[in-house]
Amino acid sequence: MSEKTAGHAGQGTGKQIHLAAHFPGVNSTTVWSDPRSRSHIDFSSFEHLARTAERGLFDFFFLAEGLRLREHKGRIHDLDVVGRPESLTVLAALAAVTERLGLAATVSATFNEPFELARRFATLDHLSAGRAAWNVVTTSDAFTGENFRRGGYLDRADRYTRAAEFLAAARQLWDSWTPPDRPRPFAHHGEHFAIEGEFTVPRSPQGHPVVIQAGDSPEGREFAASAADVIFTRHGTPEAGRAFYADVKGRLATYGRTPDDLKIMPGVTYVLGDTAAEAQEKAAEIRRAQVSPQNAILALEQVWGVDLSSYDPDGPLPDIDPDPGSELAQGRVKIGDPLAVAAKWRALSEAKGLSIRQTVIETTARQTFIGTPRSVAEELVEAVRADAADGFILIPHLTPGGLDDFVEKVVPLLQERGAYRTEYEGATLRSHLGLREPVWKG
Amino acid sequence: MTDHGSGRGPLHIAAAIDLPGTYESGPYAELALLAERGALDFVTLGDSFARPGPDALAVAARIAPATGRVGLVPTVTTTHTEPFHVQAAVATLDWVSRGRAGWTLDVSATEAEARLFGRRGAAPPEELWREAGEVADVAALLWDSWEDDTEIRDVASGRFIDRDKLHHVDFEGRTFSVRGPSIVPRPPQGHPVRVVDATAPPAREAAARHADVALVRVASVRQADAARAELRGLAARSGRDPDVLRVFAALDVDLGAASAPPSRATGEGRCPPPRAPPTGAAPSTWPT
Repeated sequence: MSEKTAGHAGQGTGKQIHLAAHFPGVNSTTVWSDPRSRSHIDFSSFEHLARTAERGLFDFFFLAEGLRLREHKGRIHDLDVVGRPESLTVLAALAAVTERLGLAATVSATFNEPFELARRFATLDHLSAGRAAWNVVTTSDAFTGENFRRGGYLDRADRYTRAAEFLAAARQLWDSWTPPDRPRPFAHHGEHFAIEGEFTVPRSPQGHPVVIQAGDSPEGREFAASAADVIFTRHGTPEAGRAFYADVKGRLATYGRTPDDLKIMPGVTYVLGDTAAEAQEKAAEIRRAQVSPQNAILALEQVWGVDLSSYDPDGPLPDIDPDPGSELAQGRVKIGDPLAVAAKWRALSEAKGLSIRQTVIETTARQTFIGTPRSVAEELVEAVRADAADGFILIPHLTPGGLDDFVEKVVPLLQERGAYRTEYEGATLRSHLGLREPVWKG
Repeated sequence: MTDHGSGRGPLHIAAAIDLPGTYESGPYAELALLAERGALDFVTLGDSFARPGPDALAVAARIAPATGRVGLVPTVTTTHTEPFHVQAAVATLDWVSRGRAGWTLDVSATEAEARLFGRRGAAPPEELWREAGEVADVAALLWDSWEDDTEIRDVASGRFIDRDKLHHVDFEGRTFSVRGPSIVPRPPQGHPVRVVDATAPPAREAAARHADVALVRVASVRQADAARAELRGLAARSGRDPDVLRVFAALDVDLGAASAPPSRATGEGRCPPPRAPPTGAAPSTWPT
């Protein structure tokens, strides 16, 4: 920040906010139809967003993962951004154009092997001088498996036991050299992996890259409490956020960990305006851009599980019932209970007189913070001080300029309130997050 | 000197910038910049799960933004890795380097490497090179699984892409299958450059069939000529135009700095090789 409006890092008396940036891309938040929207593939877009995040003194920059292009009705989904470069390679390049920003990649523990992936993350940690983070995901299904040797499908419980064992094996590899530079043999023999030999990389600057876990399920919460440094969640209301926060932090003691050892960072969106009314207007515009008429029908088909292409997006909802067993949508998170969702949507549509598109806009568009920079800053500070979060992963809707206004206008206000750093104090991502370096287990 | 006919353009030179025991990026970037100042075609970064060293493709990506023209060619192994991840990473290296990526295919043939993964036992090199060839094939198919003008951003129809320009590859290899398409749009070069070290006999067939550049470690001009003739012959027999295959002789170059170990340079051109590399630093010689 060129402008240090108040105080110094750490001077604030209240709880400090952690911020991270999610690269916009393959999701329904991203607006590609805006004339300002640029490539989601070119390195320049990644560089612009990462540099902006670093200018805003963010903890880290976050990339999601896709291992198979999503399909709908047996054809590739074409209404949202499609395609992305491979995350770890992008982050290695971003390490060259940033100095302090953490670099987080989402990588599946299902379609990788511990030796290779631990090596790739340890390499990134070395190449970035201690800024690597791994968002461990387990999303696996036969559809995605068709792109991999491993193929197949794991049920939910197996996915987490495999992920936990994967991570434990990775930690063993990260600890396997005697500092500073002597390789030692390792051996791991478990239910899912039987591996042994020598790791090729010395212990990295952070000891272990930061581990992120995303997902709100009970298994996910337990996994995070036992093994993660950051949890990437989605909270609806402040009440839900506080309940989640208390629940997850409450699980830490079982594992001999303290509440500070796990940071809770919900993914959030924001819309800024010079006045509250202007922000609301912009927010409505963005929602309409996110849910095009074609996207509204598609969202409906995902719930109903049947072809609804003959329906008018500006007309009423279908009166037929959903098909709960449908395989219409592939490569997406399944809708839990289609009949209940359909009932809710119908009720809303009838109560407010909403068309299909209006209903989808009302129910699916996620906009967490809408307002002036001042009111958004206040809400962020309040959410953190009320223990609904330790910070936020911001999901901008535009590539690559989507963070510009936040960094320019909101960050200085957070600093003014003593709730946010005015400079990076340490060099590693662990230091930004206030996490301890893992003890070397020789 | 035997006349091999056409296919010889101007001299091409590449340099290996391997730095054992180096895990930070600075020294690699310095060497790549030096190579770039010398107008070399590309630099190579070796890699193996069997010995200490960082992930070479990540190092190549890390030094990409610091360089502007030189090609970046890490070794990527195909035995214990996922073909789908490998092609995505190489395509991404091409994106972050704005069209300067290549990869040196290699196999992991030892029992020790197999135990690092615990998924399959060691196999004979011939079998592993056949699989490497299939990985090269599926990579090319996946790079082509997006046509260049797939992204259309047609606001009127709400379509970001023209999905008719995306293709499943439905590749069935002996040891793996891939449905596709890739998750990464077609890289700037279309196909990043494929390099194979064809010195060992089991690698030669794969080099002749799949490589854009074959490297041969040789001890004399005569050996280089013989290796080149063999590779061109194999390429022709597999139905390729031999002129699309570049053969580089790999040699150790002693730049005269007494304390530094020799670095490896590779080059293709009229034999004998140049007396001095374009860096003009020192004469290069055939090791004897």
